[in-house]
Amino acid sequence: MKKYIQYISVAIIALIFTGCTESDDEFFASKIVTSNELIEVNVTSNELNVSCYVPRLLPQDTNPFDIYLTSNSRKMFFNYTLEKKNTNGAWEYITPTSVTTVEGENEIGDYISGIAVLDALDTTYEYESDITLAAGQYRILIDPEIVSLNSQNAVMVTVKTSTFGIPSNALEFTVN
Amino acid sequence: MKKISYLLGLFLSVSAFAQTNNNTATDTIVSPILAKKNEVKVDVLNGIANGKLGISYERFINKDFSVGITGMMFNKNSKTDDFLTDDTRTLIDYQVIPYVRYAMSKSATNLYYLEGFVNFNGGEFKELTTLNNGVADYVVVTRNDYSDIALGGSVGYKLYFKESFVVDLNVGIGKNLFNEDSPSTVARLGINLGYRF
Repeated sequence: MKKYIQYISVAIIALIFTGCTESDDEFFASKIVTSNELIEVNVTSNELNVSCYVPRLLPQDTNPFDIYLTSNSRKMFFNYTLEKKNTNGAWEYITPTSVTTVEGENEIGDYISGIAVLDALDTTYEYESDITLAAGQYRILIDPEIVSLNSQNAVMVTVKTSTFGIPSNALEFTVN
Repeated sequence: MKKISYLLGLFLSVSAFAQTNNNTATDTIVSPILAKKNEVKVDVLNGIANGKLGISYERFINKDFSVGITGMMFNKNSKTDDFLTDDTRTLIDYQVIPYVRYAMSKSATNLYYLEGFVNFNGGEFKELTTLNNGVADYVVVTRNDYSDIALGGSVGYKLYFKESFVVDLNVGIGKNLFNEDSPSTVARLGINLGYRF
């Protein structure tokens, strides 16, 4: 009898610890949709132009998907980094200092967060910036996910996308 | 030498008699606690930490086994209802827990026990629901009801004061069996204060 009791005790304790590690009861209100080529990068002379225009009603296979009604958020963001080749031929991150925001907002640190803001007509999340660069060899790396910002009390929307004309989401270019 | 033998014999006899008397005393003096067959308890841990009202009744069948039932209700007024926005998937509203306990210690005032229980539980769960407003699809978080039955076990410790008052600690876990929307496990965790009569 004592042996059985010991077995049962061990089984219960094991169950308790197993239960502590389970995470099935977590809930993240998150919806992922896909829409290609929503980010665009252009280089002209010494200026890098990065833009992102996301329709609020995002076309999908069946019905369009309403980002704003789902997320209750007027802002979406995506991240990108800018690197410059140093004299040793190695890439190093740079923080651009000359940035002109055409649409939306920028948060600039080790990487750049481009924030697309829903326009006054509530039809398009808009972001566009011009970055003026000194001469050198550069590389821009785009993280191709546009995520709703501060979707509190609602569902966070992630749009998986790609960069127009740059399937690898990375572009090397030279400014003379 | 003979006197020494008599004295030794007398001493051994007295010792043996004393030992017999002690054994008899242990066997025949029954703790007053064991004569009391009923116990009611309130769960202070869940009351303070989780806003749950937990009340238990336990009936002692013999010195080893007891059966009981715990009722636990979530008092929604005790907390801000942030279930729709927090990161938990389920919210247990009520639990009814019949149980059987086996005392692992022989002491009546201070004992460990093993428990097997059935947990009838119900509450709410969240899920994402896609709606359409005639123009586009959109997704919202909706809350729905569930109910389920769990089987589980726990271990516990009881300490009696003044032959009537009890502190009862237990920890265990049960697994819900029938509903995929319910929490897969239910915890059995409590600090109970009670009275035995």
